[in-house]
Amino acid sequence: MKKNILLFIIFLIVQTTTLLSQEKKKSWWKENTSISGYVKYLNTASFRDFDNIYSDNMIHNRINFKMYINDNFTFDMQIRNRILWGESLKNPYFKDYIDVQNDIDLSAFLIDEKALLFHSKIDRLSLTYNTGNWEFKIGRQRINWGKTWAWNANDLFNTYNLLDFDYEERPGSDAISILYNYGESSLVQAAYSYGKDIDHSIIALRQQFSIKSYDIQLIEANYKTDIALGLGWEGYIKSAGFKGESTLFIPKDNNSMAKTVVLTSLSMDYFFKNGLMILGSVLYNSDGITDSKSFNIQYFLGESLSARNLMPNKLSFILQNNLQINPASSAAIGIMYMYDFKAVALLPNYSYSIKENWDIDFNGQLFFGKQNDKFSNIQNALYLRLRYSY
Amino acid sequence: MKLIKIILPVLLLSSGISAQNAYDIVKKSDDKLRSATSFAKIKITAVRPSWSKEMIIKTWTKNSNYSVALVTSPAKEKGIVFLRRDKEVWNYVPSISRTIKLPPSMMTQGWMGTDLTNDDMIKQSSILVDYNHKIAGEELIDGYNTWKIVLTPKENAAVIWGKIIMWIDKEEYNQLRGEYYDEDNFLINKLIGSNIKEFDGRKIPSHMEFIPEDNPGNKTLIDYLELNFNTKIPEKYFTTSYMKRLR
Repeated sequence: MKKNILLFIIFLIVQTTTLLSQEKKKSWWKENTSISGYVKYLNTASFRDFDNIYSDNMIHNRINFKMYINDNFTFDMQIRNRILWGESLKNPYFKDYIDVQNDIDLSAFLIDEKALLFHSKIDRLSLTYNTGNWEFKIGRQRINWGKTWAWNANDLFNTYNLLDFDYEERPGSDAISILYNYGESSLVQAAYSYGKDIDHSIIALRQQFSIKSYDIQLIEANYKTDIALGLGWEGYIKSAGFKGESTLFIPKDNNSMAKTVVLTSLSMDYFFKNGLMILGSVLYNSDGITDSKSFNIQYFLGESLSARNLMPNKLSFILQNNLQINPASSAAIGIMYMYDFKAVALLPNYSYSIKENWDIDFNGQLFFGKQNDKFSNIQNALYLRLRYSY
Repeated sequence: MKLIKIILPVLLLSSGISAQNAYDIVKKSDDKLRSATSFAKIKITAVRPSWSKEMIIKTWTKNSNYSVALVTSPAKEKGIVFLRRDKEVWNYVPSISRTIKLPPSMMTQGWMGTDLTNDDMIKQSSILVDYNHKIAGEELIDGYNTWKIVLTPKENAAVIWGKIIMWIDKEEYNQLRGEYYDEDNFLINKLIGSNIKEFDGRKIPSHMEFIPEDNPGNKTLIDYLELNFNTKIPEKYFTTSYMKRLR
């Protein structure tokens, strides 16, 4: 049923676009709707040594549909479609990994074969009402409260795995948001993210204001089983960007095993004249593990992150250099270091724009850490990606 | 006493010749592209020896200290917005629904991979405030009589150029040529303005070429597709909260 509805929606978008674009209403339709997105092909080669290389493939399509109904109402729907085949399908848990659910399920496997999966998910579906300084938004949306690069302790609604570079849009949450803007960059926002009860819901209040060149936000929230208090800022020291985020999570139930936790991240960014950009960030997790023996490669790859636990260990660093070689190509190298585990991830990237709307990029994720008391290479993944944007 | 009688007319004469002082000329030329408010649709083309990349942006400006730019093409960058309020700059990235505050160092970088710096794109007015201006001669360019004006940075001015030479035509006050030098007096960029067209009652060069000296075969082209002055722009266009709604 769900599968048919999804198929029908995709069909409907394509149909209405082609039909209406031929009709008289053309001008209204053309003026007030937009369809954009991409088709990406991603090949992943995972290996520990060259004798055992696992290959996976994905065709990843995104359809962003937006309709400006009138001056006040905006409708937004975005669909993520993925066709997957390759070695990983042999893993019995792979389907769960692909079909990560919100509490309201808007996803389905359109093709579910042993050797081929086609997964479709509506990850944005919202209606926005703007009037004066107010904005009301209901539905599946991305509420992004992050301020720093890399780790976002303030981003209560959409935490994500730093290494999942192919899904920058993130799943979105089923929420209601009320926002009031005042002044040049000040606002108050209240947001509620649906959960089956209060201990699965997020109810949060955010105030944003500026002091000199600093944009500052304060957050108070019911974050599932915790009370969360957050502070975030964006500003600069001389000509370098200086951003920070800190969130304190206090368990509501005194008798529970859960501890009060604080997560703090700081980041700096600097742009050089020659096209080089340097980003550096540090994350402190007061509840992090410090025992280097407990290191597990899954910590890098784990999917089920929360704002309360952005990294499993106490202290993590990331340093990234991006170089814009020319308008068509850029190269980057990132180094992530988990201090407590003495584990390192190397993250090289090279991107090239083949021609208008066609891009290709190479990404690597090479992991090094202690195994049997020896520092060695533990896991690698190389990604080749081709992208067509429309 | 006799001397002053000789010198005075010369003083008067010379001031008469440059009744237009260099600052006024540069200001008039700068003003020409400015107004209380403006809207422009611009095509930017980055040219390299083997390929080129095109980008279309819409910009709204107000009183030269507020401006906002929306990328409308290519598809990959569509919807990206830059907002400047005085010296602060924000960048809205639609794919992640986030507004990022950019550090001042970002202003000296190439604008989205072109030869223009972010400074060139959104902070041009500093040519009036941060530089001293002097008329260095007159030249005929593309059939137009021009003033050649040399700009040198004021002490302690935070600017990227060590010297700028501009050729401004005497009739329409259009900048037809420009040369941008670094602190060591090396020529870094050249500017060529041409194809003068009338937009909203003002005759201005609709085509401009920025040519970096050290990279032969590279250049950035700017074409005005639309240009309107003194159009009514709501105040909210220059706020961070409106960036995601701009279209």
